[in-house]
Amino acid sequence: MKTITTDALIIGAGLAGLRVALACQAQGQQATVLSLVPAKRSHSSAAQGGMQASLGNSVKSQGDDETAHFIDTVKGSDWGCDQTVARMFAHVAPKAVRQSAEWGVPWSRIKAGPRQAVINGKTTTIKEAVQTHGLIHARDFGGTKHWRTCYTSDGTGHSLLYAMDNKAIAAGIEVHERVEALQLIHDGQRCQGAIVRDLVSGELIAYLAKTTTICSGGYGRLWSASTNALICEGTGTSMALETGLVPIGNPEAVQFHPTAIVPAGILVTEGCRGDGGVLRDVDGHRFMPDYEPEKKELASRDVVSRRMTEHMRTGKGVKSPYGEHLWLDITQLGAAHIDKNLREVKDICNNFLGIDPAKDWIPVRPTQHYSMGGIRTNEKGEAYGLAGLFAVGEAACWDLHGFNRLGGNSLAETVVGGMIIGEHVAAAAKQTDAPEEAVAVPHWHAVAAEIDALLQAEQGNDPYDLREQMEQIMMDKVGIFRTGTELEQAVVELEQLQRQASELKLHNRTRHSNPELVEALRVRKMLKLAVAVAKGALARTESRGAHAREDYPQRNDNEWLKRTMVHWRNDAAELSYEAIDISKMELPPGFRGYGEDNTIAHPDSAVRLAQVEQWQQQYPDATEQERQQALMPYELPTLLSQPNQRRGVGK
Amino acid sequence: MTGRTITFEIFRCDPQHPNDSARMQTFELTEAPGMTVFIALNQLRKEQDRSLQFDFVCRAGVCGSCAMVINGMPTLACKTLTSQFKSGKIKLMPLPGFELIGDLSVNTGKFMRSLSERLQGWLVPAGAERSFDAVEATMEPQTAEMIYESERCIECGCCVSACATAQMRDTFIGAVGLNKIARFTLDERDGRGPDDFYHVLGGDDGVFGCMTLLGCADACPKGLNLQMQISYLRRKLALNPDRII
Amino acid sequence: MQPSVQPDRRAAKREVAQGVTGAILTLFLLLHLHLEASILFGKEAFDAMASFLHAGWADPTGHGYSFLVVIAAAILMFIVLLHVYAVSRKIPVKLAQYRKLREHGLVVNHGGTRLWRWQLYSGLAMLLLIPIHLITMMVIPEQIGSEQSAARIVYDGGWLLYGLLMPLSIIHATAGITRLWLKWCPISEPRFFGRSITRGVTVYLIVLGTASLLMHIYNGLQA
Ligand SMILES: Cc1cc2nc3c(=O)[nH]c(=O)nc-3n(C[C@H](O)[C@H](O)[C@H](O)COP(=O)(O)OP(=O)(O)OC[C@H]3O[C@@H](n4cnc5c(N)ncnc54)[C@H](O)[C@@H]3O)c2cc1C
Ligand code: HEM
Ligand code: HEM
Ligand code: SF4
Ligand code: F3S
Ligand code: FES
Repeated sequence: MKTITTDALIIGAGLAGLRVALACQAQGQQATVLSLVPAKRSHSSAAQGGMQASLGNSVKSQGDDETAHFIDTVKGSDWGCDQTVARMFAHVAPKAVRQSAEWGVPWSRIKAGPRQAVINGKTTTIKEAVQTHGLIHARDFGGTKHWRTCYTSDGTGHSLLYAMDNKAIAAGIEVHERVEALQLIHDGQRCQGAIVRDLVSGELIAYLAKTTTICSGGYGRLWSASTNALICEGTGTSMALETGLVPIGNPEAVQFHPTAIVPAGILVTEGCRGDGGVLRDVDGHRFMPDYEPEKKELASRDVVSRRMTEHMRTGKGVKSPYGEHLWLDITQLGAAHIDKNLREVKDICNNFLGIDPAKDWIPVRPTQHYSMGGIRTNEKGEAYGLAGLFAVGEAACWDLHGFNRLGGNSLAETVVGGMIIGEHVAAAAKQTDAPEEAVAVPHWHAVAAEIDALLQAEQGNDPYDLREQMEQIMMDKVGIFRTGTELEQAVVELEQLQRQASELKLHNRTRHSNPELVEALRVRKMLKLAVAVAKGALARTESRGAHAREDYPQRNDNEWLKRTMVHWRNDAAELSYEAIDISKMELPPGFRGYGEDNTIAHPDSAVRLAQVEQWQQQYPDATEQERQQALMPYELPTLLSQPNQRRGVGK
Repeated sequence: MTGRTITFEIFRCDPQHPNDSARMQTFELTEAPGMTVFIALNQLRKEQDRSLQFDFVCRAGVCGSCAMVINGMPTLACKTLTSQFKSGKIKLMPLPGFELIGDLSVNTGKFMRSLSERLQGWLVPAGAERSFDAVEATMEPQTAEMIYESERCIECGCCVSACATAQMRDTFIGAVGLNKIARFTLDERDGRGPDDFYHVLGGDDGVFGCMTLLGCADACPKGLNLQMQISYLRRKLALNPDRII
Repeated sequence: MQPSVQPDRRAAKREVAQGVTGAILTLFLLLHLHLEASILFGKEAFDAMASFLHAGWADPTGHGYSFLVVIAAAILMFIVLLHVYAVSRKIPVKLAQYRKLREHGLVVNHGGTRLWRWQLYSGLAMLLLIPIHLITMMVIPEQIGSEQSAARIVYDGGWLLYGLLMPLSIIHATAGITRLWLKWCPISEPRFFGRSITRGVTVYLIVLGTASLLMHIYNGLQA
């Protein structure tokens, strides 16, 4: 058994993983990062639109602050998020943007003076103050009160990931590429690393570590059409699930992005609408104002996606060989704007559709986009169930996003989470004894045996077949709108597939680089996750955020203001729930502001609201800190707890 | 043109197999509308040969994983539509100049990391790092745009494969390296100027090793203006008025 | 930050030298080919040109001074040598490099690179041809004139020498000068336009040179 020992093992070299590694290294802890692909090819690089942080620089961001960001995030989550986490997050986000600027991200900057912008379908003139010239700019994104989304043209994820990876190379952090973590090493109490397969040589290596942090991204590839990269298969998340000890939180909370191109499923950024693009139907009619007169195209993602689906159901979709779609129209932004700020969009339209977005409308439809659920952790990023195990980024359910994530909050989560949780990971690594090799032995043998069996099996199912069936079930039955009947079928069928996956037969018996073997190992993990998603969705008989049950259209705070927890026990998904405590909320549940309010309220909501309002009336002169302390105290690592300075516009 | 049969000629080699040698293998496939080389290769692997090796990650032309030589041109396979080849014949070769992992898969990641280490491809701050609690330092909007312009490189390796100089001389840093340096010399936050890169940039491994073949600029799937980047560096290093030639 | 080591300027100097000598040689060739073309206007025109270049106008006898030719040829020889020295670091010296170059050409199909290979091979050929030409001129500077030239071309193997040197030097020079432009000029887009100009000029020069050469041959055979 080959072993590699390190202080902090980090599984995933996207933004979250690299930022945690940097935090560990800065604290003198050796970080070793694992990745399926070279770090810079991680899925974080695909994020185009931007990263939210309340810098409040631009005129359109005037008056923005942490509280506004916090409120938008909580409302966006349909009150499903952990408000303490949202508070911590909103506080650190500006620091994350500013630090990354010091590390080399060429954030788009404000140019003083007047400029034309398309707002709400009309060309308007915006004038930026001289004092803000050269400060970091922000664009408009859905569900936010102010313009808050910092961006670099439309390659925000790319430039962030490059800056972060460059920094990691400078710090001498080792990134082991083309390896796949397959099983966590643990003794039932504490996680001590992972068993990892080298995807090139096929070698199995035991990585032993004081702390293990899973930053393996989302699981969009459970669906056949997803905006996610092909490697977003959730195997890291599933690996935690497979321990039987660590629960997955809210697996059913899955976001569908309104604008992925048809048929390739490649995302065109929300920035298109933020910058003034509109949605049109088969008649060329701009339909969003009919449904959402106030926010229109910039309503929250889940809302826009549902409205689009609804509109297509009324027969207003555009028919195509690949099914129905609608149009995204950004022609009014003009070629100059598109060339500068929406270049990737232009390239994508050119390469995959053969059209010019400055002249033609883009065929789009809602497509799977983001996994709000993931490995359930506490505020410090510590996974439930196993000591020494952390999770950060899209793989985690730190629970910043609840049932719907705001655009731009995810990149922010990866970096902010990396900064906050990275400190805790480093501290834990310092306090923990060296891992014991003996603990790894049974895990190593288990994985080796699984691989041997796969390579020898004379009969069984085809992994590609199972995978295809799974993707189709998820697509058809666990999509944007969900019903009890369909979900029930989905659960039955997925469980059936999951059982079938225990018998797989491969055509390719190579022990080293063998794509079919990789597929076989992954499909088993993916099916477990798929079962968890479908079961969670079936059980949740309400509609909240992105989880929309046609048979239960109301948000039911009374019964469902709680987090789904899925454990994998006795080869089946087992559900339990974790209450979300209204009496500790800074922002008690209320109306989210879309459509009509049909929430079934929880009695505690009114009580808590009264409490909060009363306190505010009682102490009108209280400082921000006092207010926070009284209503919802939270604690950040000292390094990150200082107040954020702002220029303030027009001074 | 849909529904026609396309013939793929694919380079096959498993360097880890003791007695495997390089060969070309032919496959046939019925073309579907909007088919890309990405779609085709996955279909081939699923239906015809489970051992076929290649790399795709984003399948959207943004991550740089899938570069290969398609009918004589290094480019991204995921954004190459099969319909663009009127002959219906598509020849796929792995990128030359990189370590071969197998078939069409090459180790560009390793190459890029060591290049970055060699060039110090990261920001070396001009002064002390500013506190992240304070308002950020300003930057000219135009400078930020110019930096982003060269930062759009996705490290796909097409430029290295298209460059005969890089093939003949292993130590040549290639367009990707030159562009990387240009990116940092443009950045006022970086304390280094062209002179600090001189030890590599000013020699035959750097800008004076480049023979302006422009395979790099012709191949770059991101359309980076590598010619301008390189000529900028060349002028800067050779004609700097502060120096007497 | 101060540079840690004193920069080694050799490569930069050679780069500039290579460009400057290449440009001088190209301009010379351009002029040379056009002067050569005076034969197309008749022997008299050619002889007048030759005499003019020998500074016949300054010589009362009207013959001119042959040593001028020797000096000019020597200077050019020097420039050529300088050019060769400057570009020598670009010329692949190892066999393995030629193999790589060839293999690369088989996998990657790129016009610009093919052109460079032509430049390389033509340069190597000229390494032999130019000295022959220049040494001839230095040895018999007085034998420049429509008749002697024609004789040399028809009977002394000049047809072979020039038949090779002319197209090779033209291709080398036009490809080189375009490259020079792309290398240094801040406004060199669109490069495809530059490439099409190169092609046009090359064709023109080769036609011109061939015509002159054929004229000499015609004259030689007539005599
Ligand atoms: C097209 C698109 C556009 C987006 N745009 C935006 C945007 O504009 N703003 C925004 O805020 N968010 C955006 N998002 C969301 C955001 O990009 C992601 O949520 C975020 O980048 C996730 O980062 P991460 O570090 O958690 O994971 P990733 O970047 O996905 O990284 C996962 C890492 O884990 C590794 N890995 C996975 N499994 C294993 C394993 N088993 N063993 C070893 N390594 C493993 C992978 O190799 C990879 O390095 C977008 C998402 C998509 C799909
Ligand atoms: C005598 C032998 C010669 C040899 C071996 C030779 C070789 C070369 C080579 C290899 C190059 C390419 C250098 C590079 O790409 O960086 C080159 C460039 C060039 N050569 Fe020559 N050459 C010769 C003669 C000439 C002559 C006679 C002319 C003009 C008529 C000429 C004009 C040029 C020009 C303009 C360039 C471009 C310079 C540059 O790229 O910087 N060369 N030469
Ligand atoms: C000062 C030096 C030179 C002198 C005096 C000179 C003279 C001549 C003369 C007299 C001819 C006509 C043929 C003959 O009489 O043999 C000729 C032809 C030619 N020379 Fe030169 N030459 C010189 C330098 C060069 C150089 C450096 C080059 C190469 C770049 C060159 C390339 C040619 C070519 C290609 C022809 C054939 C022209 C044609 O086909 O029309 N010469 N030269
Ligand atoms: S410069 Fe262009 S071709 Fe070269 S690695 Fe970057 S993106 Fe690829
Ligand atoms: S192809 Fe190579 S030689 Fe220079 S111009 Fe590009 S790096
Ligand atoms: S797969 Fe990412 S660029 Fe092709």
